[in-house]
Amino acid sequence: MRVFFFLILLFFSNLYCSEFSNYFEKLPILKDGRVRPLSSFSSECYYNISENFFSKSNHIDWFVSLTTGDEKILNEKNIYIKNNYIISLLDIKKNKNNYYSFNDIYFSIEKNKDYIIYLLNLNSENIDEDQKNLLNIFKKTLIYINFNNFFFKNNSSENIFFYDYERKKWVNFNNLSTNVLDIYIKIFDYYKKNDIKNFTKNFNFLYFKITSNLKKNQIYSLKSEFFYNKIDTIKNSFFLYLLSLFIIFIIFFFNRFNLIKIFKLIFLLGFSFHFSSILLRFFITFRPPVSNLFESILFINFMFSLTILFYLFFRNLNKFYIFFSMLFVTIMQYVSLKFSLGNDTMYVLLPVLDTNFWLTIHVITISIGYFLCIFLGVLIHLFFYLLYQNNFNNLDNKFYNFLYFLCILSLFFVFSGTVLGGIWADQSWGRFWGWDPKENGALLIVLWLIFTLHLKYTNFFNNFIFSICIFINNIFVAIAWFGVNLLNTGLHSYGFVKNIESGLFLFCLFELFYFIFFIVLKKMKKLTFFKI
Amino acid sequence: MKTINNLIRFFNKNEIFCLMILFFIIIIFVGTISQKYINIKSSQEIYFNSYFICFFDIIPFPGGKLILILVFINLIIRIIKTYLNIKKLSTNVIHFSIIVLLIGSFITNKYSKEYTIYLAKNEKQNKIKSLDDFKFFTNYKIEESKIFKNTDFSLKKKIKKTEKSEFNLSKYFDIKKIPLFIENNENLAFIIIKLNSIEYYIQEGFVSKDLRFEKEFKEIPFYIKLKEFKKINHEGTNLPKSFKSYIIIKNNNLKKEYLIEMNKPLRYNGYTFYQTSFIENKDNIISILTISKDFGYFFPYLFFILFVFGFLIHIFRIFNIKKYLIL
Repeated sequence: MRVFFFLILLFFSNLYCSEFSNYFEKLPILKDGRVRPLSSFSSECYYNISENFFSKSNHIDWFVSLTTGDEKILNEKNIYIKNNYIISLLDIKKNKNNYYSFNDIYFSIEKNKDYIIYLLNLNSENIDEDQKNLLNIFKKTLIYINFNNFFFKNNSSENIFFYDYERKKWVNFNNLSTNVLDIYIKIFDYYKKNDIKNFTKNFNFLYFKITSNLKKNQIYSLKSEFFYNKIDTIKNSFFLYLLSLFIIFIIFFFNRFNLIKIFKLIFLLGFSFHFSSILLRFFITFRPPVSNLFESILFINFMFSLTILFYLFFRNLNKFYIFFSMLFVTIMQYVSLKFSLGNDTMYVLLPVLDTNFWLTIHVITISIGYFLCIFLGVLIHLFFYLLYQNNFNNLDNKFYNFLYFLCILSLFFVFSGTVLGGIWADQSWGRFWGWDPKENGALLIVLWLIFTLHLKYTNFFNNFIFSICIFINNIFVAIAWFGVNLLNTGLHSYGFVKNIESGLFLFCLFELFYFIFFIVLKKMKKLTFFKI
Repeated sequence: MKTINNLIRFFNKNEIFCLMILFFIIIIFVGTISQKYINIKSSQEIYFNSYFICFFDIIPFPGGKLILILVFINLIIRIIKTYLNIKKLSTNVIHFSIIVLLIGSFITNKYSKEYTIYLAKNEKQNKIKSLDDFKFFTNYKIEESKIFKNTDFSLKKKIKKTEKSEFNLSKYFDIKKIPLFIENNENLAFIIIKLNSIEYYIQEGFVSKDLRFEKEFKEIPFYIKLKEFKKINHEGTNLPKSFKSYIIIKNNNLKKEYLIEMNKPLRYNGYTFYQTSFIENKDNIISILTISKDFGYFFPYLFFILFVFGFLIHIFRIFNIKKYLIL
């Protein structure tokens, strides 16, 4: 009952916002070449400032208050600053929860204006972490400066466009035709006067006028994105996966098998949110949901959660496999949540990437390849664990066969995906192979899988070495998927990332410890491994 | 004969193949990391386009080219050795597909040429500019010449204000050869000539009556005319959504219109035309096309067909799937 109550709370926490904001969040705007509801942009701004998905207030309420010049919002503690260097530099009193208001930091930022301008002119490679953090805080205050009283300013410099239904084009707020501007001003006035009746009437009129002039696909995308923001699919799926992980942990370590039905229910709910996020993204962008690193994580994680679903409902439950897979799925969902926080993850594509044919053919093939490699990776963790427990009995040969089959299938998809990527590059850049980091990363997996499969046929190594090779393949997948993006060089600039070095390092460390714990300890026990 | 047999036996070993793959993995790993510090073309030259490399200037290691040649030999021998064995059909088809890919990459590496052409609206041309080859012309009797496709230079002495400017830069600069940058317009090419025992540095693009150093132009057997260039931006931004060139090709008396855009190149008469970029002026837009003449372009396609075919046989015919799908 408590779990059920918690789930309802979790779901409705995202749905709740003030009556006015329920309308505002629908308002279509044009930002960075994309027509989207205001709620997308407000969440982007809010999470950029707060850096936390446990929001204290609703992002649309916050944004509307800020843009309509509500002074209270400037004293609300929403800006996240953790760095002690910044706190001492800005000479502000340290808060326990690390949240500060705009008024707390604005004057300190003003004082350090010259230093910030100097940093802004420097090359990003020449500034240290503390300086980067200071620039980040400056960007947060800039959001306040640009959007404070946005709708009543004479000059709004931001590149955010509103639809002028009289001239039938997107323009800056100040350039709207007089009649359209009047409607907007009326809406904000009624909002300020708390007159919901007149507000609704005018808003509905404006909304109808805008949407009746937009293209059909833009309206579908708008509605889908509004719904996507409203139900916050990624956040909800993460929390539900986390809860599932917790329950499976209890089932696994405390033998509470009566909880299995609850686990299935919660996992299924999380899976539904996950699936709907992929489906909705497809309807919003009208392209396969694999066009950037964030989407690839979401998509591969989805395929992985499908295997859990398969094992849960169609096969005998292997507790350890489910636990390990749940751990992986939850971590990856957390990573995707982190990636999406404060960023527009549905941004417009460069002309070279804007091809549904190649996105479907190449990216989906290679994503399936990566997924199979990860599936192989999780199974090998299970294998080592079972080996440690001496729990193998009749499973040994079958298990190896299955690993071998998966290995071949992974090689097929990764190799095909890589070659298809080469053919795409040949069609767009005029060269099949350029030794670009992203290409090399995929080639590393291909070569390692070829090495692993051929090693199986040599006389020097047994099946156990084969399984160690599959274990090492996890590191190659992590390097190809994330590691090469850290180099920030080459033609695959859409995948470049920063600040994931520590995560990658932790993953490698975990793999090493896992290996040492289950294998080296086993060796030390002098228990013989079976040889096939 | 005995030596050849021994060599064949040696190269037929699976262990040799595995070792080569392992070496290749190391090369790719190091070569990729190196791209953080050196440019991509340098990394290609040092690690992937070489026969040998030296780690830390002491440890010799086989380069990418040598490894691929050895892999190629290994695969050829394996196919020949198992050629009549029908049970190995799938493996042989897969191995053969890799051979096809390696042959294709060899042809591309050795014989492919890249050119570029800049076209304004209604402009007609049949000369394309090489991206790699240079043309040097002089009326002087020079003793020696060498071309540096990309250079880095340092100041030798300061130019005095009173000094007359000279075309010879060797007085003031020291230049050294460096690997090519991936973007062609970032490369700074020089030719160094020796005339009356004096060295002269001449930069790419220097054109005078007696001396000329510029990129080579190639005449193609047809004319290209840009009928129209269309560029659409994402609304409210300067980001291009798509850009495309409508061109007319006139070959003898035949005239035909084609469209070239991103991801849709035009293959015509052995040449492939790609929409690379554009230059936006006040009055007009100039379309930039890259043209490649590559006989090896269809090998990856052939490889892919063979590879998929081989794998499908391997999975569905040789494998007993039920045996493997146990979990």
